[in-house]
Amino acid sequence: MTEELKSYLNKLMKTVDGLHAIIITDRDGVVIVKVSSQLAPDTALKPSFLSVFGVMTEQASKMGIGVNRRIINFYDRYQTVQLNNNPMHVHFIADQEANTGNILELENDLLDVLKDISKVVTMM
Amino acid sequence: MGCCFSSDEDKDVGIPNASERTPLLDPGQADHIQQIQGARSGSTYSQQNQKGDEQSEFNRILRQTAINVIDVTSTESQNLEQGEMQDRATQYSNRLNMVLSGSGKSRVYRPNLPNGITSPQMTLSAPPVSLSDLQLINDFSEKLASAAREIKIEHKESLVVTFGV
Repeated sequence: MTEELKSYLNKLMKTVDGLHAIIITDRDGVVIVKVSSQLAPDTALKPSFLSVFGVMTEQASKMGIGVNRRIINFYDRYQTVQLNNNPMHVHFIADQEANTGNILELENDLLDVLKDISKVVTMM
Repeated sequence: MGCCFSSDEDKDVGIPNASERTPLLDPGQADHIQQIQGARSGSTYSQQNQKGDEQSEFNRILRQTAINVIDVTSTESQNLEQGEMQDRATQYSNRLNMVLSGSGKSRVYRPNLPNGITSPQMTLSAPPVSLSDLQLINDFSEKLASAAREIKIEHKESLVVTFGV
């Protein structure tokens, strides 16, 4: 069954040019599901990188303007779009030139997946 | 003029509109004082209880303050042990399999339809757009595109103007 989920995520990944990875983790950066292409940078797929978003979104939520929902970072060659979808986090790793709006739109296509995965996380 | 303090308000007066008959101590406060005195002369249990309440309240405030502090340097401390992370990832993978296969029906994920389509059956059963309409749209868009390309700016006056300095 996980294979079906992964093939769906792979299909979604291919709908956006330059998107190299979709990773769903818990709040501590522990990977629940991950799909990635060969072009994704290894460092960005590691829990040590993914866990930083958990801390950052938590701290950014204390700024007094509500809960932080998304953090987008641009690097020399890559961009990361990270979504705070409590109790899970979704991470997209893409080329710097990839269309950020299209990546953000993928959240709508992930709603069913996230609903199923939230059951897994809340069971723990 | 007059007295130096004639314009100053009496800041000691805590009760607004106080007269000579106004009690200095608020009756509500007096009850509270009596309660405290009663507690003092009474059993030591209530005193300890009150102290415990104070302590727990103090701890609560301390905890809340610590939660509210914005601290981005704590990334290191929150990292899980490698082994624990591996265990949790394995658990997630097992439970994900369980949840996905436990629903009975085979689950097929499909991308959602665009937000504008509330009733897809209506949209899909509607007659297709006629060829003449398509032609009209194409003609107009081509004309607009060529018009946009042909826009040229002719400047009649000098763009840099010197003020009478």
